Amino acid sequence: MYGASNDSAPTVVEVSDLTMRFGRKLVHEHLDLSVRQGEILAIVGGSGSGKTTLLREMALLQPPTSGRVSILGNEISGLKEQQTLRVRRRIGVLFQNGALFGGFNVLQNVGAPLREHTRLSDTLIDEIACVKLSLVGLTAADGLLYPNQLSGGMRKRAALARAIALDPELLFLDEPTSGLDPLSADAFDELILDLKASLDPTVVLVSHDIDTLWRVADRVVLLGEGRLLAEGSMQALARSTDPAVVRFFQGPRGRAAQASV
Amino acid sequence: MTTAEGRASFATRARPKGSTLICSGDWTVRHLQLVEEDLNGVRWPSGPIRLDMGGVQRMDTGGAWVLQRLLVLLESSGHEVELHALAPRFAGLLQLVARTQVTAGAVPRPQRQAMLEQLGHRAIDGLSQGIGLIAFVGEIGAAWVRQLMHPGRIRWAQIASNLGEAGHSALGIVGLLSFLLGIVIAYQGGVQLRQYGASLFVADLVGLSMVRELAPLITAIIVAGRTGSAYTAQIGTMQVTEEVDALRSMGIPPMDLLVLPKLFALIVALPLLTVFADIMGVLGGMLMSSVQLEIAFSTYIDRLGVAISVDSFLVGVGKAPVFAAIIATIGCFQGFQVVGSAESVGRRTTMSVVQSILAVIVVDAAFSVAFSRLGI
Ligand SMILES: Nc1ncnc2c1ncn2[C@@H]1O[C@H](COP(=O)(O)OP(=O)(O)OP(=O)(O)O)[C@@H](O)[C@H]1O
Ligand SMILES: [Mg+2]
Repeated sequence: MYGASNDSAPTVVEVSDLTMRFGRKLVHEHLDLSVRQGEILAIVGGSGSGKTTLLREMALLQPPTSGRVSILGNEISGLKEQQTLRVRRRIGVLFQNGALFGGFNVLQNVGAPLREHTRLSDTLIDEIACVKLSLVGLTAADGLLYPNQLSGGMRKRAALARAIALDPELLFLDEPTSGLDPLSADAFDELILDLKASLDPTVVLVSHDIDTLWRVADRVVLLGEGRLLAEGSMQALARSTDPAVVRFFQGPRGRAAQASV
Repeated sequence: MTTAEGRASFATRARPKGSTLICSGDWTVRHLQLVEEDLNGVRWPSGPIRLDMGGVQRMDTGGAWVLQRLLVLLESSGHEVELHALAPRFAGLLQLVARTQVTAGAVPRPQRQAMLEQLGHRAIDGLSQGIGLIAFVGEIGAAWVRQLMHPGRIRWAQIASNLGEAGHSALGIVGLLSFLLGIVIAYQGGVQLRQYGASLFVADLVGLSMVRELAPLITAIIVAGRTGSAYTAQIGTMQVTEEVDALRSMGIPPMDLLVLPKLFALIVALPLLTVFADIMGVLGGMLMSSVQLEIAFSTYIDRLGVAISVDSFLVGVGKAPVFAAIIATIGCFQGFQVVGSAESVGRRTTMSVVQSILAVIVVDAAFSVAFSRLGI
């Protein structure tokens, strides 16, 4: 493979022959994909191409119609309730719209997984939550705000702080930079790279943002027509002559993003 | 990949040994409470302190934070601290946590209000709710007048679908409950009346109590629980997802689309449901009378004709539109009071049901007093 990912690293997520239908609607069919430890994998594709759905299947949130998903060495279909819980504790998910708990303030939101899964004292939990807030660029004072009092960018950051509350080995990010202004989006890219450098999780992210792809992704997979259209580093995809890839990456925005790298 | 599970035996411990604190095990959030307990129990000697981190197998940001906090604590109390044998990857984490500049005292606390202040806030909230409700009634009135002046803007389709939801779908539960109520009254009353040889008056008992009081009341209570709550939940959820604001921005008054059709529909549906409840209750009583007191259906019905005057019937049914207006108004009002979160939707829905049932019963009592004064 290309870029920072490396073939000898163990596989963290392995998807094979995955098919997903909603009623008569086919989202994808016979999909194979593997995510290696320590890489940042980006899933791209047009709206409705099934990126979120694929992410949800990998994050144990949506059982596929057929096919195998194995995550952190566990084959999902064979997992018992208890084992599933154990796997879930090792992954963090940033949802497309944040999904912060509206009845909790930010500090309580970030502390929620700790409160649920550990027996730490309340003081320590609040302190750790503050550390996480600071890691994502929020101040401790922001911790007292409720989700409906946050701006879109702050909501994303708070949701990310919650996703990394338990120092997950595997982090799923659904459109981390959508809805952010260009500066905040840049800062968020930096943040992801920072977290990667310090906590070293494996990251699977969905993004429409070509700048994000250039800056953070080690490897990119392009979804479309219900299958994997292409896969490789951004450099490789930018050079590709495959018409589907060219259409996606060589629009005016794609070229502008590439030029700025 | 192995996990920390099942390895608690090689537990995380921090033990003082002379001036060296030996740290070992998993300094991860899952096991950190052991470290916390141990550290709380340590009595720090004076002089320099060495932290031997060589035995630490794993560390996450939580563990790094505990270490950082310990370092700051020791240094601020005048100890010289030496960090010994901390693995490089853990040192990176420690730096990361130190960079955040969070300090142990930095956790913000929401300001607690004093009792008196809370009481004051409650009182003002209650008052402004009351004023808000009155203003809301005024807005409904204004919107109603506007719509009557432009009948073309009346949303018939909305009214029809609300009518189906609030009326037709409630037939089953309203019918069943009033039928059972009729049976209960006939049974309880019949036992007493038979002792006086006045069995036949069971028809008066069931008929009058159902038609004048119980049918309107029980129907209103069912509808408050069933439809009033749905109104609050629907408008409240739309409020959370900014759908209400979206309507406003399109120049569609939420009043016209969300409130008036519900109000109209309920004002029509509740009297009809009440009549249905009247009939089912009386039927329940009739069945019970024939089984228990052996009163023939025809006799019972004849007696009903004498017992229930048109006035009584109208008094009962006439209360229903008032109840409907109360339920719909409170239901919608509480929906618009929702702010922010799903939790708020739940709280407001509960309040909507409690308040509308309370208001219905109070108004019913007021009606009773008024009617008896008027001699109806
Ligand atoms: N619960 C569901 N029931 C029915 N169809 C669904 C459901 N969830 C998703 N779909 C369909 O599956 C397809 C893929 O949806 P998905 O949300 O994965 O798209 P996406 O690639 O994430 O799009 P976007 O970039 O707009 O977020 C869409 O056509 C959508 O209509
Ligand atoms: Mg999506």
